[in-house]
Amino acid sequence: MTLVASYVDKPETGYLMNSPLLFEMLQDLQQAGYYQLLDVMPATPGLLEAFSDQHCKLFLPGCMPELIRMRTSEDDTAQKLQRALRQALGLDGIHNTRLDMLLLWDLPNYLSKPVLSGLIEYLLAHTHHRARLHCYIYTRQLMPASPGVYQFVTGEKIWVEEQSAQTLPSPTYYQEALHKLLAPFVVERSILLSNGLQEYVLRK
Amino acid sequence: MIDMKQLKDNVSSKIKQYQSQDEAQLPVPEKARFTDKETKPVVSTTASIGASIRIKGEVTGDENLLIQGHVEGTINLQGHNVTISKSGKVKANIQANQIIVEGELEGDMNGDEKVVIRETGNVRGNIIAPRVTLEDGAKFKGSIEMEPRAKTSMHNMAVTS
Repeated sequence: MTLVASYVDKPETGYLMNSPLLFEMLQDLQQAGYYQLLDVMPATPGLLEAFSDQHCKLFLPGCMPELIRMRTSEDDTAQKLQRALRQALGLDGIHNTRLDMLLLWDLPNYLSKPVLSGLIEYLLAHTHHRARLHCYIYTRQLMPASPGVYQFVTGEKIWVEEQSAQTLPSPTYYQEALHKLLAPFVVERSILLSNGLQEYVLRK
Repeated sequence: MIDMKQLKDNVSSKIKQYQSQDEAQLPVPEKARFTDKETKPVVSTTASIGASIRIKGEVTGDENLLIQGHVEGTINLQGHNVTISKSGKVKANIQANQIIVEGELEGDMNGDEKVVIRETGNVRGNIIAPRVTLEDGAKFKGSIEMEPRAKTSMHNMAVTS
């Protein structure tokens, strides 16, 4: 694999981050055999390389930008939101979808609460009964103005590129808030990372 | 009385003469290969759909295909390769040996050997293939069935050049 070298060659664009829970979860899935995974980030060569030795199905709707742009108003119906989510994620047209793992990265920090809850409601119809959800939550008061780009570059490292030097207040969700927003997912494990992100694994 | 030695020498010199004549007269054979599944030779020529051509319907055949124009429907070239060039726009499900996308594709790909999406490629669809390559800058939305091709585990992935 030469992926790491190519990213580390330009260290000014990002940094390498440990993500122990993510890789433990992947290890568990790998041992279980075939699995299905959803990643909301745009597809990258690193992602395919990372999963090239796995027996799995990757769902890569590349819908992060569309989800970020979604806004709801009081007049909106739940159906309208679900229709927009169907269009962005496109899981309905794919047969035998039973997602075992959902990679949301730092997306929950940037979605409005109704959109986040609506997203979970949409995904529930396509997940395995023991599915897990992985995300990062900002614990500091300020976060970058737009979501980062996270890429698999080695077995247990993630290359992070922050897309904005500007900041905005972070929602600083605690565990109880996540339980409400991401229900029926509940926190299984959590760890504070050195860059101030709280890494969460939630389970149905 | 037959001189056996002289007869042998005459015959072998005649054979050599005919062989050299035959080789000179025979046409050069076309490059042929055998597919894994079949034993019949397959001539590896490439047909092309030009940039100004628009096709609607089912595309089938026994040779490789280069698409520079527009195709809408289905493309079934089992055992052969399909390349969608930068100017190519395809709205079709594709079944082929190798599928290389440099242009736009909306549809599913089933590659017996591999699927490659080049940096200029833009794909919306689902992929089934033993090997899938996505080049830096390529756009992809859909699903990919991954088959293990190496015995290394996630933990064993290391930086090697």
